[in-house]
Amino acid sequence: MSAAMAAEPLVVEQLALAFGGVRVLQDIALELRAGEITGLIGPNGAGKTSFFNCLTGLYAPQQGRIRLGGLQLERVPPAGRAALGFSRSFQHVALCPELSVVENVMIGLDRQSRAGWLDAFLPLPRGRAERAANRERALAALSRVGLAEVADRSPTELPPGVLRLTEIARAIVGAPRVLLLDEPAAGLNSVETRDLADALKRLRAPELVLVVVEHDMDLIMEVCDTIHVLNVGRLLASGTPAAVRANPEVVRVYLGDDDD
Amino acid sequence: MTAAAGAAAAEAAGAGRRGWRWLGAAGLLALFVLPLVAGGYWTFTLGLCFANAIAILSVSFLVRYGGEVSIANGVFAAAGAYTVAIVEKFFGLSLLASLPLAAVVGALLGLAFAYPSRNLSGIYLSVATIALALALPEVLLHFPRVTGGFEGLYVKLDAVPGLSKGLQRYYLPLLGLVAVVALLSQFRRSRQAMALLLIRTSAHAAESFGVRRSWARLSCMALGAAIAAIGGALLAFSSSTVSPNSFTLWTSIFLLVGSVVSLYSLTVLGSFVGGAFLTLMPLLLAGAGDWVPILYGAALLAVVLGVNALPEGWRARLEGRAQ
Repeated sequence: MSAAMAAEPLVVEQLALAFGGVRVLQDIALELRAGEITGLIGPNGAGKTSFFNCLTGLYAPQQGRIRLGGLQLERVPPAGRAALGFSRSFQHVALCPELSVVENVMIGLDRQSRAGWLDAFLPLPRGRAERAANRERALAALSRVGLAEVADRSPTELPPGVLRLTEIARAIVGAPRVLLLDEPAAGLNSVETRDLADALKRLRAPELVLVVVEHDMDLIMEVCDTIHVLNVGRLLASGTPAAVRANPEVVRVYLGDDDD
Repeated sequence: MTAAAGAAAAEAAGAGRRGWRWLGAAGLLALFVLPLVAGGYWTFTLGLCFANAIAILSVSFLVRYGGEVSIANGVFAAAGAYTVAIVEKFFGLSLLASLPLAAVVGALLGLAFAYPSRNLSGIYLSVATIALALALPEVLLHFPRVTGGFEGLYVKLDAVPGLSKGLQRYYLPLLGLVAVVALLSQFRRSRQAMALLLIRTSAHAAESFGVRRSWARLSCMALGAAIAAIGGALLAFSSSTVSPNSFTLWTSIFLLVGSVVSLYSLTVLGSFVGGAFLTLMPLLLAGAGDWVPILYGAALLAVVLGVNALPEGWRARLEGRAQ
């Protein structure tokens, strides 16, 4: 992948999504730049997760365009977008309880793996080598979020904060071009949130479009370069953390006054 | 948990695993030497029991990896059984040559069923599989020159020359069961297995990482059908005959019952328990006359409720989901 191609932004134009008569997103137009951490905030029901689902292809918007550089994405299915380098974590933890933590993370490498059906059933050298390499990469991703010591534990034994970090490790293990994190700090205590903020800053890379949906304003204001605010499916404001914090409309509908 | 406590727990778990392994190895050894002490009746019955255990594994595989219930695995077992019998009848080749072909035929039939039904799930898929199981005997009767019609076909050829027929009928299904479990154990570590397990529990997450639902369904059905066909092929070999009566809707239902009794286990022990329930329970109850269905139902309830009352660790080991 060339550096020029890698640094291309994710551009959304006039996006609209509705379920029956309910308009979930209307006229969303924004540019998510590589090399930045972009925050997406707004009250519950503002459409943040639906916006993520449109970006990854789980939802098909009725209107609008999504472009990664020069590539139109509307007709690309979720698996195809994963192959292009889209990766995400989920608002509700979506790990498999039958797999260990490190195995859950290894699924983030599935689209890059080449082991076939013979490798699956027989202990052939190529499949074993790939599995060992994938495990090493998964362990490295777990180390980046501070979870190396729970690699072989079952998700059923671990607290919610650890599971969220495991999801982030799964999302970053495949070196994505577009990384979408949906409320990564939900369920984390203050120490874990501090570690998460440090981990997010370390994830910042010139070729990576990194978008974070989050309700923890301290975290968002600390790590983000640009923030977009959604309210009832519309884009309310965009700008730097300082500009968004100073926007009276944003304060009114979401942030609230300090006196409140 | 402190590091010391963690290490102690890991050591205890390791000792537990070693204990189970020794027990498993001893059990397998006992099965391998059993024909030296047991009579022909028992070796014949246990041979059928091992073949049934393989067919039960096919149902459990689909439940564990696909999250779906199939009532058509008797059809895939029939595909394997008739492949062995037809290859013997028309080409004069024994089980060793036809067994791989039976697995391929089963997988292709599984794919042929899975593709049009790939968007069905839950009760709708189960009902579709019932339709397949109901149609099978009629299809077999429709081509009597190939399938032998009502009478069916015989499987007479030796697979291993020099070994007595009775021992072949015992050891080949046993080896088949051990081989299928070993292959499934290896499969559990593969990227395909991890993808199937994730898509079963969280389809949208799996799709976001490039795993396609249709791929998952086709893979599960084809692999499950191939395992069922291997079970059917060995069942045909062990019982020396195949006929439409051997593969009715009830066959598929009893395979599902066996799978439930085995707690959907993918281990030798679990599937053997399921196979033994299918094969031995009717024999044990044979003298009870009209009471057979009632006693069979009571035995089924006793097994399911009894096993569910076992400690979690034992159940996890029996179900083959312990790490």
